Amino acid sequence: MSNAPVRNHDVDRRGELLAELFLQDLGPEFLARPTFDFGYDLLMGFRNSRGGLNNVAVVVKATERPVQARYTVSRRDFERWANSNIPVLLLVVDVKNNRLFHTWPTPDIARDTGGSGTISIRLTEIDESMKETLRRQFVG
Amino acid sequence: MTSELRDVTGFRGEKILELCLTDYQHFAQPLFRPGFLGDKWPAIDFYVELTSVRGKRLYFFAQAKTTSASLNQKQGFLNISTKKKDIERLLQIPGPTYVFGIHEPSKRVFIRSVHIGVPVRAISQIPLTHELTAGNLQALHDEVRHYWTTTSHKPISSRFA
Repeated sequence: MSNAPVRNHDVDRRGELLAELFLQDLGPEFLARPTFDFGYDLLMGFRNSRGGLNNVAVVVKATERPVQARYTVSRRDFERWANSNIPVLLLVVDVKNNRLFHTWPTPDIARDTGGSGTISIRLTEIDESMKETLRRQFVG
Repeated sequence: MTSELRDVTGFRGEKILELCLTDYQHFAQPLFRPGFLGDKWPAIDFYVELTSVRGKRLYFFAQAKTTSASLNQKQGFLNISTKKKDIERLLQIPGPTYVFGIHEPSKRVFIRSVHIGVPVRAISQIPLTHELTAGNLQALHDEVRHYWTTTSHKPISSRFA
């Protein structure tokens, strides 16, 4: 019997945990998981200096393969993230090497990969300095 | 927050432990598959299966204790707080049982066994040499696997057969 579904579950679970711990480290006012699938894995809010909340939707993609500089997503998903009225943070998690990559999907960052219904986008690895940049971005 | 959203900000220590047990940077696949039993289950937080034993699903039980107290390298121990009652309960459970000390600020995890001969009193320290590194993950896997070779895998009969 193949153990592929179990393995996929393990990969997804590690992706969730690594993403959640990373996002908690940024100090959000709230971090919540939708209990049904409406396209985002997490929603979070950061208190800004004007007393309001900066809300962000997060999409987490877990993989056990090494993550390249460019990442391919479905055109449909990309259109939804890039054209929503809430900023969407795409987190790609390399669950084998415990590395996180991110991008903010906006229409200008995409590179069409042809007629396959997919879009290629550039990712940036999250190190300590990028973590600080993101933290500042969230509360700005 | 509406009922359609679930708060995920708590339980960092348990998440850190789950990530540590399933870390496979140095292995072809995770050695363990932990299942969280919930906050209400007495003494045990995780049921943990070994993943790489063909035809068997061997396991151990884990209690997680998280601390943010500073790590004293000179002292050589992680200070944790357990209850005597919990150690008593762990000793009553057949099978390997362990207490995991999670140092939340550094996300480091340390392990101490609760086995026959361990005094029935609260455990308050875990040696820093018991850190759950790749080497100790493998040692834990081997220890649990070896334990299950010394005992029957299943009952050999039943009234309800």
